[in-house]
Amino acid sequence: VTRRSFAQEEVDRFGWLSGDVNPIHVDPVAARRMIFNRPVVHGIMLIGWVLECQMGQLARSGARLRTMTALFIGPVPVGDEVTLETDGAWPALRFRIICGGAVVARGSIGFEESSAADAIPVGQLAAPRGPAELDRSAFASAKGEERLEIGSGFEILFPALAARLPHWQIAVLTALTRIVGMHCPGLNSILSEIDIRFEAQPAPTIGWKVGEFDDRFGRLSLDLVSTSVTGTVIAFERPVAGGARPQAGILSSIGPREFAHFKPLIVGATRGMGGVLTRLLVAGGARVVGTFNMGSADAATLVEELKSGPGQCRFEKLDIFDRDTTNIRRIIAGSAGFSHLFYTATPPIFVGTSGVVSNDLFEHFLEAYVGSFLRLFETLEAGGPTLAGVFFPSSAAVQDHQPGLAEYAMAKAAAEAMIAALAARHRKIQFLAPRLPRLDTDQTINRAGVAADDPAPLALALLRQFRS
Amino acid sequence: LVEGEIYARLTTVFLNVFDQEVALAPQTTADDVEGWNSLSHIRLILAVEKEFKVRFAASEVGMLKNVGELVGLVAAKAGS
Repeated sequence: VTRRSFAQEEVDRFGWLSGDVNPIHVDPVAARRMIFNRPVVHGIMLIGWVLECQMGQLARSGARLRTMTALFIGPVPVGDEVTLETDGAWPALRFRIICGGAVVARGSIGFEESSAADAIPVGQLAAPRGPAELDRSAFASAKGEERLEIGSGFEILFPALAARLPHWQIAVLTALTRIVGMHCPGLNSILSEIDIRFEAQPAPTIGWKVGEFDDRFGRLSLDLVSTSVTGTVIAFERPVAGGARPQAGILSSIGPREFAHFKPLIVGATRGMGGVLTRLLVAGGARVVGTFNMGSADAATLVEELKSGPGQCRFEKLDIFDRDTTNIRRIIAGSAGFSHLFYTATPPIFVGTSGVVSNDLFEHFLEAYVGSFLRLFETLEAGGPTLAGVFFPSSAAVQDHQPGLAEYAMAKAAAEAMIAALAARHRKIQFLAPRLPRLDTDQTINRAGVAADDPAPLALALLRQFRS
Repeated sequence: LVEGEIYARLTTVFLNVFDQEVALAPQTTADDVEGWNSLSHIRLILAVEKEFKVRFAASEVGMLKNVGELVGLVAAKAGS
């Protein structure tokens, strides 16, 4: 059994040397808006680690890969500890990678004896450009040819592998992640399965084409055609969030002065429910102060989008986990007094494991929804009694158990009790803490067709519940 | 197809997809099976389609709440 974690710098390095610089791996801010809510380690980098562990123990001077299967079941977030379990003996090996208590990848590798000499020179990879954004209609006929090249620095990440495996075989593996992450499906991709067989004859390139595209699930089967490797790679079109931008019909139903009496502070205002509320309130003439933690670029985009009004918005950086209230007090001092507080900030929600209840994860959510909220609310109140309304979204998961959401639901239940207690003490403030259904935001992106509602109509109905 | 036969064949499908023995019951959900997430759900559905020679719509697949509903859907599609 072997353990390690992958740091962002290591994943960045793997991105550059493989040519797969998909933002889901190397851009922490962009990755936060994607399906796993965090940057994740390349599947092929995990395979590299499995091979590195094997090559490190190898009594022979070198080896060749014969066959490889791999199934990527769940993400390995950058920084999280992973455990490798192997069984079998040379030349056949089975492996399982465990992360967060669950098997996230498994597969098999067949080796054969070889000297470590390279059969063909491996070229130097040019600096990669951004990933392709293929349209769905282009998937079925997509094909291409990849040169077997590796960027420099592979030996820094995987020294035993670089010393003992033919570099053209390493280049085949890095070409696979490049094909999926940069070409097809490209930007919106998830690598799912590999089933390949290495042939004796190395070649300078490998050809690939989409053998089958199942548009029900966005699933692509890529066939590899080459004298050096044959087989199949399965990838998914990674689903993207729909509902952050309200449809024109909703916006045009809002009177230009309807929310002009609102001077709201929206915590977590650039995305999800917070992003929707910001757009609706500005459409109704409100002067919004929004906060973001990581998304300064999102905030700048939103300011540009909403600059024609009728209301206004500006943004401040705020980390809800920051226990020092200096920044909150600075934001309050820079305002004319907030009339409403919208607390839509959240850490990534879909991080729990089905059938497991983690106290650490519960405490993390509790700090986000109770500790951090109280700190903010009390600091606002200490600045003077300006608040007329508070919006705190709870969740339908409190009453309807959903797999993997136990800790989140537990913390939201505690927050509901907190809101009830605050409402009893602050009778002039109107508290709204509805149990919202699963909404279509970047937190709830998934591929299995779990229904998610458009957040805009719901958000507008909630805003209209506030007394004027 | 009778229900008992569907459960027996599904048990083999689950073993292949999830790499573990699962005692299937109508109320079995994703909570009960390690590794049953949104992507492996699709692998499961494709394996079920292959085993029973049926084809599901994406909307049918997204609405399934437990194994009982999956068995019901298979039975309906397979014409029993």
